[in-house]
Amino acid sequence: MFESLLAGLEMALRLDTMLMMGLGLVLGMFIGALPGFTTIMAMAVLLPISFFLDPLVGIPFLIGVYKGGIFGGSIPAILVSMPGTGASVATLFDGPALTKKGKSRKALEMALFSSAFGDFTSDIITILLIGPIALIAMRIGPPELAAVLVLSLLVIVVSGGGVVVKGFVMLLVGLFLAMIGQDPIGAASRFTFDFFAIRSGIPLLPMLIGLFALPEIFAAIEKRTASYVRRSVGKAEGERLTFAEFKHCFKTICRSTGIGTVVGMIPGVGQVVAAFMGYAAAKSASPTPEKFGTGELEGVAAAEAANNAVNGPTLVPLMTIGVPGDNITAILLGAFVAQGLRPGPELFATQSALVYAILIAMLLANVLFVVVGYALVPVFAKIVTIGKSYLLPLTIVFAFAGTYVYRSNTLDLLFLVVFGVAGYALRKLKFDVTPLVMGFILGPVLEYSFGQTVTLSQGDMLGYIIADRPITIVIVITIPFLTYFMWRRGAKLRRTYADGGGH
Amino acid sequence: MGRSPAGSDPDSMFKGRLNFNTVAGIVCVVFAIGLYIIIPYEVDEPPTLFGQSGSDLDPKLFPTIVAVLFLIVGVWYIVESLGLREKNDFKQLTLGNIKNITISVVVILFYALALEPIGFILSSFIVTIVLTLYYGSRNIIGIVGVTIVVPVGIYYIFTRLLQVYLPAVPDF
Repeated sequence: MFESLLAGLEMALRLDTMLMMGLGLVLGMFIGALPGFTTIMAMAVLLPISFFLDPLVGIPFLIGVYKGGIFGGSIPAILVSMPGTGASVATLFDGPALTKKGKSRKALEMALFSSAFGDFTSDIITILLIGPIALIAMRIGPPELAAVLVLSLLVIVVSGGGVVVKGFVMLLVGLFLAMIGQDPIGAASRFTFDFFAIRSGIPLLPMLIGLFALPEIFAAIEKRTASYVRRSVGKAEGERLTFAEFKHCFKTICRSTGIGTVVGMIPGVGQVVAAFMGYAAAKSASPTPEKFGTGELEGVAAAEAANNAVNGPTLVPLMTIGVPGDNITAILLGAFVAQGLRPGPELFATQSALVYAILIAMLLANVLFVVVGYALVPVFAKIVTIGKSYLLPLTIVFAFAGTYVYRSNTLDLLFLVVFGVAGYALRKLKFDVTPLVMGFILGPVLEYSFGQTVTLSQGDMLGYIIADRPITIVIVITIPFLTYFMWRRGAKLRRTYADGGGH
Repeated sequence: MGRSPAGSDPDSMFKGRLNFNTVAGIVCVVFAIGLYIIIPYEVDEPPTLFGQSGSDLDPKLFPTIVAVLFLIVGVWYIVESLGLREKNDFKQLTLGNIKNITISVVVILFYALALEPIGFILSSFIVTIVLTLYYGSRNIIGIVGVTIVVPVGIYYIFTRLLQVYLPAVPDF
């Protein structure tokens, strides 16, 4: 493991990797800073660019977009009280109040430094933990993998937002869509209705771009106004952040980083929950909890450190067992797969240096993150007011170009439009598309590992599992308990912060 | 989709009325039954080699499981929906909103179909100019930027920097 870490370090220190990662950070912050444009959308639209770059350039580029976007979302949250991205909803408690007091520059810089600290620390923890976890993951076989996949899918459904049964409906739709084409074991044709174009299945890329980028565009298009925010608002003003203020919040930042790191490693929980948990923990630990919500710098630090600390650790389940925990890591998975790399135990066994190189590049991204952020925050503060009439067409052109170049196929563009319209309709009817995407991605893997289990068991499934696979039994037994626990906890969090966003 | 409870007056909603969630639940149940019926016709037998099937897992098994789960979840959804008070956001759209959305969908559908035959730059120009003007931009620099500079720039990024194919001009 240690040699691969060193080899990875050597591989990661490349000028083109750094440059593209810096570009990714700038683009991520830019898109994150635009109200109505989310990190997921940025990643979906920019995903195709990574396909044609070296893996060690393309994937760090997307990671840059990821980190930059999660931070960028806090800029409009602080300045105009509109979260640029879901992750910065908890920043709304104190950010806008600080702006009203004329302290927006302090708030933005606190968001930047606490985000960067949370990101950096959690990345180090990720690098230290991923090796041992991968070693364990390498020992698991098809039956354990199948059990883990079932568990992950259930956790993703029950901890998502909204009504749980609707999450299950979406999961089943995803599983069904994944079956169209050929079955993953014997390649028997399924549900193709003799329609040649879908013989090889529904393509992932138009689905990701269609579901994550186009609905945002349609939602924005409903109201035909040229810009989201009136001009004249959105400026970084007031004094800069002092070191004493940062030091004062340091304990809070560390606590939030810890919370974010743990949350990130569990599939399906994500930035929003981490930010709320970090905020709530800081409030209850504070000697003056009544100040929270009235423009407390510590509140911004708590939320921003926690949401950025989630970023690195979400790669742990992705890289070790191939399970993406949320939409963003699903897009990263798409980037890996398009490069011919399938995240999971095999990738770790055969290309551990590459995996470490990507993780180290991610760690280095944080240094760039502070530099780019510090220099460009005042610039990004201005773009909050860019006209919608220019940005929406631009996003559409990018989404179409990116979808087309992958296979040069008009059919993919039609899939893009269909998924875009479907995603918009699902949003209107309050369905969360995350379980759909997860079911689509993980369904074939589940069926394949289940098929291997059937082969291994030689006809006596129950006996085989009981006699030879004790770990599988342990996982299967924990499934109902863990699912129930996540369900209750998710319901509690939703009740507590039911009206946390939306204003 | 369905008769959803009056969105404007939440007090008038009472349990047991047919709302959009109930309709969606019924759709799930119908879909489950339909899926179950078509499985034997739409799933091929696994290819056989020397009289033996290539895999031990029947390709019909997972579709059958999904169909059964769809049925269970659909029934659960119908029961749950009777107590749900979610609003169908489609009901809140005004005629103007619907018009905006329809026009945008038609424009991007045109884009999907036209990109290959008339080329990326021309189709992008048509799509962006229609959308930009429709969304109320009258700033000439902005319009030129979005409709000409952006498509050409994206074309350049993909074809020259990333060296992949995009049809530039009509291909006769």
